[in-house]
Amino acid sequence: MGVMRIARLELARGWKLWLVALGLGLLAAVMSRLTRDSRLTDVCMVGGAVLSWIIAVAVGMSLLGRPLHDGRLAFFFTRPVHGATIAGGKTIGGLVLIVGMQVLFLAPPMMVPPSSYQPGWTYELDGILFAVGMTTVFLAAGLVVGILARSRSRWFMLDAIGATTAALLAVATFAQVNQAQRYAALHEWTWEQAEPMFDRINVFLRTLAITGVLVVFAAVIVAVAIGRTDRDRVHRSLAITLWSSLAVVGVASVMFAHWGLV
Amino acid sequence: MTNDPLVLDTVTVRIGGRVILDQLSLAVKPGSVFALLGRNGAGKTTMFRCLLGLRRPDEGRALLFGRDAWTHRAAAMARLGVVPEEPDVPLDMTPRALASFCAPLYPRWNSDTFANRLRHFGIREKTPFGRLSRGQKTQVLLAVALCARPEALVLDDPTLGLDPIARRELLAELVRELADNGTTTLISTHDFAAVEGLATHIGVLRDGRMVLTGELETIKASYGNVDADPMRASGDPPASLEEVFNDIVERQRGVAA
Repeated sequence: MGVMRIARLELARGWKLWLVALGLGLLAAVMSRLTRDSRLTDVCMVGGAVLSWIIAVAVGMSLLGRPLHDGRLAFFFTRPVHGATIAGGKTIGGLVLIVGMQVLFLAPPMMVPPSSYQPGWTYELDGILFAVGMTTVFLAAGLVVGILARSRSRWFMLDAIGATTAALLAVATFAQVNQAQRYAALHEWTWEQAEPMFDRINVFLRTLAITGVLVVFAAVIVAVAIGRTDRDRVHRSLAITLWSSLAVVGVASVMFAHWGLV
Repeated sequence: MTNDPLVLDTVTVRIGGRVILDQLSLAVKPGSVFALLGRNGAGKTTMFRCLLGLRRPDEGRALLFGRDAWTHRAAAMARLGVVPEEPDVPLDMTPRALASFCAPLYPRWNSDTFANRLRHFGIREKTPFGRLSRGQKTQVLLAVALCARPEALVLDDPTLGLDPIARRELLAELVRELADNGTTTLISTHDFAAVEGLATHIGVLRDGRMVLTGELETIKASYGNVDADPMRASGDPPASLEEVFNDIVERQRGVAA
């Protein structure tokens, strides 16, 4: 209940973004109707999606990093509310805000399809899920960057090592996925033979992305719950929780990609 | 000692290798008004942060209502009213939104009192917090703290940055509240004259150490004592709090030199 109360505060703070998104979505719908040019509409939609990703980063940075920096997180910590509730409420509020913004932007062009319009990526469920998923990824990234950038503590070396390790593990995972695909090509598998593997790769990559985002959200919530209003302590907790969790996920994904895909 | 609502037990805090609080102990008795005095940088705000469970002491422990402030912060906050040194309410939050956010959190919240207090100080409920004056912000925070009808109040230099009228109003409000309810209060301030009419106990913090603590009247009487202070004549009135504080600071300076 406390989570929703804090989430509502974030929504009350940023609801105007929804109006802007709806306005842009309506503009995109009208343009697609008037021009009957699917490429122009696609450019408009991609532009809108990219804009919402940028906004997602900005919202993410402002959710916890800014109040942590200017001392306003103390307002919540001097109330009878648990630390995880504070961080969780703010995160959920930000998530609902930016996903709602994305949906409001995408909905009008989808509901008013032009007569000569060739359905593009925005009409496919995968395309919409990708847009919303990426918004969530950027929000998560914004949360982390907001805390790391504004805390300016001595733990940045830990971040550098952790980020490098996570990046190396991600590269190793994708290398294993590529190798699995090459294996199918080298052995001249038929589509019937290869399809189960491609399905596994698809499910694996989606699961990995969702797990990665959940790990980031969980690490941020744990870090704020542990560190409270102490920037240095929040940064240290985030660095330890985030990078160690991502390392575990990374190692597990490399192992699965190596042994579990083919 | 644990019956006291607000306790610091040999608390030490180090920041960047520097000792900010050094084996600091403090106990605020139930129903008392403890005024914490100290110059800027003495460690008052860090002490408050430890007591409010916002910072974990490196050594020792802070207790709120007999329980560890760090581990039981959330539960203790339901019984505690806080007015911070810097008003920390989100800038776009209106007093009305603040009240509707806080009301369900505090079991003894009184909405009517909150609205009346705002009205009394001419604060509009729909004005975002960021647009209020410094004095109004503090009044809103004090209203939030008092409307929760707390068992104890922690006020970290609430008169900082207020003009004399706003300061007087705030302190009058506090005196009224304390007279009505006898709420245990810990207040830090540089306003000695105001504290003199408010405090029952004082503590003087210097370089992270409590250099003097006790009942205000006892301390004033001892400083006004002719035997203890040869500069005083027998007909002189008791020392003022400011004189006591200045004397302590000078003595400490002498010790340090």
